[in-house]
Amino acid sequence: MFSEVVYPYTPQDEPDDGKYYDVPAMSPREAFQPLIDKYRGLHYTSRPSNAKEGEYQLIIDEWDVCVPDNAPVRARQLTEELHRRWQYSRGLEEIYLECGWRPDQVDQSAFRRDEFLEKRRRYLFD
Amino acid sequence: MIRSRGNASCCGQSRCWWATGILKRVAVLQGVVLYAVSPERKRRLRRRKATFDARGQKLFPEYAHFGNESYQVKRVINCDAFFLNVLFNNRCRTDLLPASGTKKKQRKILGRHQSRPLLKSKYCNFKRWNNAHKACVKRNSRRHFLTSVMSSSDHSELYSTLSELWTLLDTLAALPPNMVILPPADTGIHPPSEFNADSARAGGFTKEATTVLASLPYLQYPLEIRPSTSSRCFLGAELDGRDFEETREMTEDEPIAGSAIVLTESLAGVGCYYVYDTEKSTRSYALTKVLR
Repeated sequence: MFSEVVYPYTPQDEPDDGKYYDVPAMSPREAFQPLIDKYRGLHYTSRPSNAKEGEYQLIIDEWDVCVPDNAPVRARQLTEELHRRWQYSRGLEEIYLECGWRPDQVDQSAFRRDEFLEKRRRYLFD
Repeated sequence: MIRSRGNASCCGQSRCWWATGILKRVAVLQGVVLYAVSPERKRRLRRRKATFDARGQKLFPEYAHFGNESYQVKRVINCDAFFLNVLFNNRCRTDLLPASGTKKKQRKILGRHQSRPLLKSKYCNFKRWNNAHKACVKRNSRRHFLTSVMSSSDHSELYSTLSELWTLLDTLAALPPNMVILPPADTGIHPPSEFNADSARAGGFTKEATTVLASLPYLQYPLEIRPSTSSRCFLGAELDGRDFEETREMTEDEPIAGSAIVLTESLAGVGCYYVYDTEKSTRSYALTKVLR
């Protein structure tokens, strides 16, 4: 029983005539908590998408990029790109932890954000 | 976890009221401490106290029910609701102000609290707090106060969850600066210059859905918040009815019911639409589910 109802509706997973309200209902907290946990646990850490212009972190994970079978050269480029992003995401995760981020805690008052911004800038651009 | 005076009032039982997110919200809403109780204790205590559900309705003699679990209403707290709300929503809602306590007392309690910088932020306004407190005292009835809190605090779980998510992204430095737009702390809704309520109504949203839209926290422009799923922003004075209507269309051309809000957009059909249904969030719905 919930007094507030969210339906996480993924069209691809549903049968053709499925409606959004056929999906099991959740409370907003239940629906968004997995997402919050993933961010807090540093699972969506990757290289900034527009590293040249802005300074912010890419917040999506891109591991399911589909690689065409008939283009081996393109496939190798993609793989290299993904590997490079993976390395960046490892590096960023380390910087987060160095600066006092605690992946399992709600309270992040120990996180030194300015220090992190400086370190990240150096890591990505220098 | 959340630090607040609530810690001190924990009774030592392993399952106290912040055990789950839902209960946390209930405590925030009601200013009520809830404890889990065993069935035999429940039988013993059956006739002692009254119980309110999340909307302030008196339900059963002394229990609040969430799913299959029963919680006993222990006592009413005043400041914890305020603290939790500031910590959780990062803003102070006037309808959740303490029912008792002088300004001096409030300051004393605030001083003991560890998150002082947060409480001194722009979201905390002692003057308004005090005025609302006076109004509450005037009513001179705790029950009345609780009921008024309840009826004006619908959809607060959605607000708190979304603002927690956006604030987390901001703390992670995953967003450009000034990307998170919380509704102003004093009114709780975005001003007409930012949110066009007439267009929302013209776009087919019900009155309640429009109210919810006007008071949600937003990201300034759409961002991918999980694979193939991007956030949505309903702000913008220049949006017209057609723009709002488009947000209600998912896989089909036919828009969904006007009471439902599609919070996220699915990119290329593989992502996830989070659909929030305001109709099912009303008091009558909650009650029918409880009483069934």
